Amino acid sequence: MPEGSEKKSSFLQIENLARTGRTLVNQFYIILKTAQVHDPNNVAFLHTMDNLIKTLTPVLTKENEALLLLKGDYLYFEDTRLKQDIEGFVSFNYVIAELKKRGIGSIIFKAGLDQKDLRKFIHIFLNLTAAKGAVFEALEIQLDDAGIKGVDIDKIKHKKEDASFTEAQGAKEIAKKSYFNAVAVTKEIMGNARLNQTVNIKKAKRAVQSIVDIILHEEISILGLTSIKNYDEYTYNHCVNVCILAIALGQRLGFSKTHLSDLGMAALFHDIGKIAIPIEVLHKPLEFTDEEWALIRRHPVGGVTTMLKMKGLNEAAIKTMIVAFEHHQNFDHTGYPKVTNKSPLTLYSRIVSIADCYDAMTSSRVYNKTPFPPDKALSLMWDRAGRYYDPLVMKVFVNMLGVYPIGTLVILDTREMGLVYQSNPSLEKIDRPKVILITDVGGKDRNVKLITDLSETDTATGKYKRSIVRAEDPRKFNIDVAEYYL
Amino acid sequence: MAENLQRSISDEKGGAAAHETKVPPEELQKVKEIVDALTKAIKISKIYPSSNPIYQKFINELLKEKYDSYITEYGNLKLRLAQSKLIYNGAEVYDNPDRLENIALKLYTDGIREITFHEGLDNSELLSFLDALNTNLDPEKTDDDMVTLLWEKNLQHITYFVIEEAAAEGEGSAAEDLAKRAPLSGFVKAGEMDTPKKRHLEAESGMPVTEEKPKQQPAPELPVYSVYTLTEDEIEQLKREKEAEENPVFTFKIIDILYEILYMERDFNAFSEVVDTLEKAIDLLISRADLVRAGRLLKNLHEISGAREKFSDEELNRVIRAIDRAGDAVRIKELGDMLNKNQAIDINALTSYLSLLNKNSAIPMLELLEIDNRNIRRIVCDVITGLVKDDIDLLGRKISDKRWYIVRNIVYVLGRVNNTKSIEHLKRALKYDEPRVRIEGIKSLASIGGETAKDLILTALNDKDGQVRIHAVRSLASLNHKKAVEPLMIYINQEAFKKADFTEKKEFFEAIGKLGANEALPFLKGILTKRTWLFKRTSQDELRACAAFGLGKAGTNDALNLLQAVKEKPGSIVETARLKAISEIKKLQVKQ
Repeated sequence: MPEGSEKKSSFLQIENLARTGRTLVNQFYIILKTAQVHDPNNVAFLHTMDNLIKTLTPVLTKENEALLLLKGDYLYFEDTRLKQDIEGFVSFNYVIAELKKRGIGSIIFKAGLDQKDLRKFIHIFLNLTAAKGAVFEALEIQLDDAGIKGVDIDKIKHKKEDASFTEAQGAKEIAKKSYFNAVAVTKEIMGNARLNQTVNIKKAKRAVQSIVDIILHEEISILGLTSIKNYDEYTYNHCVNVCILAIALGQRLGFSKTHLSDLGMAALFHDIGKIAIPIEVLHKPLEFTDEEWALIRRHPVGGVTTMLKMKGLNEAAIKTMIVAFEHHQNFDHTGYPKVTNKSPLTLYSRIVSIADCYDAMTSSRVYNKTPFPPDKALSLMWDRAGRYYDPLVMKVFVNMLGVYPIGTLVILDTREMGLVYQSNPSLEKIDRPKVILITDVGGKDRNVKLITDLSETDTATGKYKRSIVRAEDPRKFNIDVAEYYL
Repeated sequence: MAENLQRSISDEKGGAAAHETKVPPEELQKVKEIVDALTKAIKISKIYPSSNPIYQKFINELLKEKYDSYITEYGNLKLRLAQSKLIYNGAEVYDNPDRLENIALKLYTDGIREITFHEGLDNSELLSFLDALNTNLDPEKTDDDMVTLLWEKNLQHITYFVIEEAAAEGEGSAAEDLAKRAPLSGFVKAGEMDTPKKRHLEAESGMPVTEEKPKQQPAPELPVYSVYTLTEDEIEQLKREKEAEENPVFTFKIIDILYEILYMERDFNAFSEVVDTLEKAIDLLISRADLVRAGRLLKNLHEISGAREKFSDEELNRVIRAIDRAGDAVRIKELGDMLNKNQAIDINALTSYLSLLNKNSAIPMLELLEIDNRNIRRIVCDVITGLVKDDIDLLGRKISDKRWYIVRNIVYVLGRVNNTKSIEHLKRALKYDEPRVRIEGIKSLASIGGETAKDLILTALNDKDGQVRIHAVRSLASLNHKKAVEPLMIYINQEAFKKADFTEKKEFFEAIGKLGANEALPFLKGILTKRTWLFKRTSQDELRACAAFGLGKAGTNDALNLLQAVKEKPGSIVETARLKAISEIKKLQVKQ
């Protein structure tokens, strides 16, 4: 809940507010776009304004005011955070960028809002010219001068430029607890399944639900943990990493909470078929023999038969089986196992396939101690989208991780070194993530680690304060990436 | 919303007791009233659906009169759980010796130690909560417990504190241990790099063995952002795909996968397990009236049962058993229940599905003849016909069934099989109590034909039911069974025949005319020209009129001459029949 908001909302009201809020953002986006093409009296433009007023009328009738708030990289309507899914992808990013550009932290729509007020507001919003750094103030004056009663604005509240690294520790502790609980549960379940002992699916479900909660509320705190690549416990960490990445991707695609849980379960158990493979084969440092290779390629089938033993035929179990079977089949139907009926892979499988591959490529293993750096792995995967991976889901994956995914070591133009901590939600600034600064300009370790946003500009010059020069392999500098996310 | 992420377990262990204070009696009373109302609501919800006005009224009263009044005065309502008890600020407000009904125990068992009701709780959310409490969480039937279930309900104004199972049991440190040793244990320092193994790489990442390695050939940089911006069309496509997978129907893809696995799986136990699942899938599809998918699955199983070169005998037998199972009495009953419930059945899909069942299903399938829908009964008969054509006796034995409507269909099928072996069974059908079965028996015998069948039909001339006799005489006529002429004449001359109704008499005479032609003329002429005294005239005139119809069916010139020679009173029954018969012969002659 945003600061200062003390309104209480009921169960159904929250659902309605979220829906109204998303509609409002989409309509506001359409108005801004339409106003740039049509003149103010154009029927299409007037129609878009009517739609927005209609959307707000029930709220304004009841509450007198309706608040669209920008907090960090998220939009809120009243006290409800608006989930940004695939449908609102373009409109949300556009509206956030336009608000940020003008230093607007909130738009307050008031009872009595009419077409005339809204038209004036849009005109001033789009046509304002002011010196950099004084845009909000100029906008506020012009809106006052225009005598607009139905819409008001408030200034964006900036956090400190370089937030202390320790600020995020609270959320991280919760995420860590959930992460390692999920690893422990996965280990227990796969261990029991391997020994044909009773498997407690409920524990896994609880673990996955925790991850879903974290991703819905504080995604970054757990996404960073996927850079934990523990090759002693590779299988379990890998399953949890894939689960986290898949849920995060599913959230971008707009899956509901319950479906995110199903997707998470499917991702967590995508490799369950490996329990039939002897440990010594799984951990073999040398190349597989033909027999071993055949055994490895059988694990998707083993996944289904194992799940059949563990669970009944309920919907979630079936989704898990489908993913276990399909996660090594490529988008172009190459891969394994070979099937006679080449029907399209399910979206769940296509999501898990990407998450699986990304985590595997960026993990060191007994047989491969040179994993791909995150940006290189993503690059290679991007290049193969359309053949091995669903190109659309791949796009969403890149949008989610950014061109420099979490865990990428980057050298900045300030000669500082940093680790990517959070991608930039704005597509236009996808190469400007938030970074944990780990060395100073002289190359010395920082005692206090700082998080900095590479999209921050210098108020005086308007230029970016820091930019990425290149990505580097952390092993070259003996840097343990995971350490910074724990 | 679970609070287990926000609070530590140590808070729980000491916290609640430490804050216990003496609760004023009026405050405690209000809490007890809410808890009482909640427990009553749970009981009511077991009886009435949530839409029921009585239930709705009760929930409204609970919220408005009790809950809101408490919240306004004291704020959020926090209850601690102590096994079977609910505790409010140290005071017990609920206990129930009945463990099955105890709501505190239900929550406690799954690790919930505290539950808080917040301001803003409304009907729908409360109903969701009650629904969760009423859910049967039998571990054999569900993967949910109270915590996962409440999570799925997405409650916004009811929060709860959970202790994790491992910690509760004192095992506790598995996750913490992992957290301590995980991050660095596998970390690789510079200089330790080795060559990735191709198959390992492909097995783990899906990248094929020909993939380049980063050191040898740097990966391409990601392109500018516009390339990976989703277009409106792409967003729409993803939205459609997402929605499609949110529809439970999408899970039926597993059937195709399991079928593929049967071709890959060589371990018989695993193979059998997959077949078990496919059997359950058929049950599920039938219960959902999805006969298209059920038929496709059955067809796939038939394909396997025919692919002898690809499967062992053990595997083939397992698949055949699965097909047999689909047609056993239990499954056919379930199919029947479904057909009775669903009016809009895809008839083609039903036909295909039934046709794919094995012969063993023929007898259980007879139960489907109980269904009201005539089209379905007809399809069932057609399918049974196909199934029993090589094993008539299987069906023939069922002629003794007490349900005449089933037996009539059996008799119909026996006729459709068109096998002389059916005749023995049809002979028994002619003795069945219900005339409609005997009539069907005559039709079936007629459709089989042959001297034996005709002779059997001839016996039906003595049936006690007029309709049966009529069907018998019609069949004999249509079969052109000339041997029947004499018995028919004998029958007509019996005293009892005079009491038969006019239709029956007419059928008999027409049959004689048709079968006997000129040879029957003396007999017919004798009756046509025979006159009686006044008091017997009506009865005799009926016979004379029937004789005229018989001459009409004889259709010869001699018959025509005979009819034309007779003079009758205009408008009389005999004259009317005579004129119709003459007209019929003339029409026949024109055609010839």
